[in-house]
Amino acid sequence: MEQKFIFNIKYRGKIYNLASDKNKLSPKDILKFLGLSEEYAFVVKNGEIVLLNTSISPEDEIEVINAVSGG
Amino acid sequence: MNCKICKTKGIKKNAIVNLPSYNLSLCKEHFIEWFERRVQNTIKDFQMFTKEDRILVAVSGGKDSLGLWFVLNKLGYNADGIHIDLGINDYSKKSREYVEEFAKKIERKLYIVDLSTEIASISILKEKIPNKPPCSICGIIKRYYMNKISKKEGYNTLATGHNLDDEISVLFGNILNWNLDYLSKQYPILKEYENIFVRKVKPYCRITEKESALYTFLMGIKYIEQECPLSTGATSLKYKKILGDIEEQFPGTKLRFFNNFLRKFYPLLANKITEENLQRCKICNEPSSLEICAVCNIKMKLAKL
Ligand SMILES: [Zn+2]
Ligand SMILES: [Zn+2]
Repeated sequence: MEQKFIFNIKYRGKIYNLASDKNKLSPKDILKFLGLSEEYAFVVKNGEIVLLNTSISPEDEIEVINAVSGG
Repeated sequence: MNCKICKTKGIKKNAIVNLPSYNLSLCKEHFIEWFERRVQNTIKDFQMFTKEDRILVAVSGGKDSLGLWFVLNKLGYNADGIHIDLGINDYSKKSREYVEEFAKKIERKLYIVDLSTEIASISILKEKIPNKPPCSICGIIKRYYMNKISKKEGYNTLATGHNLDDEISVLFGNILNWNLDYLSKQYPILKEYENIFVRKVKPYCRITEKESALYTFLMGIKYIEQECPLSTGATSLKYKKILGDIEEQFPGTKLRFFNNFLRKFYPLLANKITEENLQRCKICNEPSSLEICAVCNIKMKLAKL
């Protein structure tokens, strides 16, 4: 059986688990998983904002911020 | 990708943000500098206010209004806050907590209007006045109290955190419907009118939603990320999505849409603003286009129920 890598993503107060075959993901993959657009959302890795070409490992602490709000 | 400003100084530093519409990549320090300069320039370009003005910031507890309150004080302006507690369950409770906590942190005065004691919470109004959308009731009430408290407490300017995405989604809707009346009032500064209306300004009108969130995050400000539970599925959110898709394909479109509206189209409408129907509400003496203002009308409806 193939191994899955689990990425824990914090988004709007909830934790989402992304299971991937790859041990490295990009912020782009993570935004895609949550169905968010990079036009409005960004990724924070271990407390620092990162650009989309950064690589993310399962042990990284990941938070996604979606800037879009109604009103 | 490296910071472009650092590069001009011969330094190699990782960028944390990419701004395709400006063809810029910036490190944390240079993004903050860029952002604050942009807000400052907007205030100057539209002659919104000076350091002598007394400003009241409408703070909801979201990223835009808290960030705006912070940056105005950082830039040396004299800005206090006003928060309307809408009484929408947990959402309003949390929002109010964020605002109160932040006011203490920056040591500025905060006025709170509690709707459940003033009239009734939005949750109750929504039940009792079902023929009016809650967002419209909420808008009427917010504008009423913000103007009223500003005057009462001696502030001449009311600042709101409307950002570029908010502005263009409204603009888009108004253009789709060719709503000339609304378009003629969509400007980043609306001048005071006698002692009836205070001046209204939108210093974030050229800041995108994402830039605003980045700044608030970088400043370590805690804010409510949750949407208003009553606004989900709002048309403005759908327009934002559409405009975001266009922007991704054609960077710079959002800013151009807004700037050119102000430069080319607004002047054609500007002289249409008239206050001819304006009178004072018979009950509360606040401005109204009818004998009895919308808020007193809501109060009367509730009393009859
Ligand atoms: Zn830099
Ligand atoms: Zn009235």
